[in-house]
Amino acid sequence: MRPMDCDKALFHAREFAEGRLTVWRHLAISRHLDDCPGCRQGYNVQIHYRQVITTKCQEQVPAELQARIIEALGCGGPTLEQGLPLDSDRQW
Amino acid sequence: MADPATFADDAMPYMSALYAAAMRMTRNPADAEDLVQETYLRAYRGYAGFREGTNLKAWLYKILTNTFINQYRAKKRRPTEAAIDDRDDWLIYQRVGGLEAVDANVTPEMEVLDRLPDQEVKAALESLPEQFRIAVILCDIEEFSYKEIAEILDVPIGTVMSRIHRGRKLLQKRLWDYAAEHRLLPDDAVSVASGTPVEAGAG
Repeated sequence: MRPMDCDKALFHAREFAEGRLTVWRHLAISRHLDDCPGCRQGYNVQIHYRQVITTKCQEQVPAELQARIIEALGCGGPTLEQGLPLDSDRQW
Repeated sequence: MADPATFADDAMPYMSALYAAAMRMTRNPADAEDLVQETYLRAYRGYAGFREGTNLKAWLYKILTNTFINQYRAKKRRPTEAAIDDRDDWLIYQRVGGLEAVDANVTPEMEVLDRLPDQEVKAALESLPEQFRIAVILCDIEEFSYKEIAEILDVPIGTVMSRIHRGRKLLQKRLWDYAAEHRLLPDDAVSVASGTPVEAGAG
């Protein structure tokens, strides 16, 4: 098994945390983290980076766009005033 | 034709995420709205052929991405993006803190990230070259697996990881540069950030 370098170990930080990597890659990163204090710190930063990016890049969908899409799909007419079709108020 | 009610129930919950991705891709609200609407119309038309049990979210993003690449990119006729300097081997963790902060729950880098204004994070992401930008959106924001992204973009997994890697580094560098310019860095990091990165030295 090839040793894992710092760059690769940090690149896969979240996938490692979620157990989404192949067994060999997971093991390689685990061993690397055991031996590399710098990466144990960098690992947490990379996880945090992804949370920050996700949180700060959210957008509010314009209500007008929702209405346009409902209308364009031809979902049965009087949905413009009703907003998104929910189970509770579906009309068709 | 697919049942409109079923399609709406299944696909509408993704609109917020699709719109955010469309905003980062097109970089303006009008094009983003058109892109999302076009995505839903195409998805609806193809919904009858969509196999139950397959990944609806990934399918919607594939339509969104393909529509963006085929329509909006062509429309804009953007010049070729500048090449990325491969020597710019940079990650946030390499710049601040040090071994003394190892295993701390909150490191200075995390605090810097938290202080960045939403608008600057969005602008930094939007400034990435298109291929890197799309890969970072799909991986770091939408949390698709490498395999799913490979299927969405129809490229090999190795290419996906390379794009994510380079896009993420470039994004982190831009965020860090912004933080340095606006004095958001902890004191001990400023001198490092203002100097020439060791990795990108004379070579």
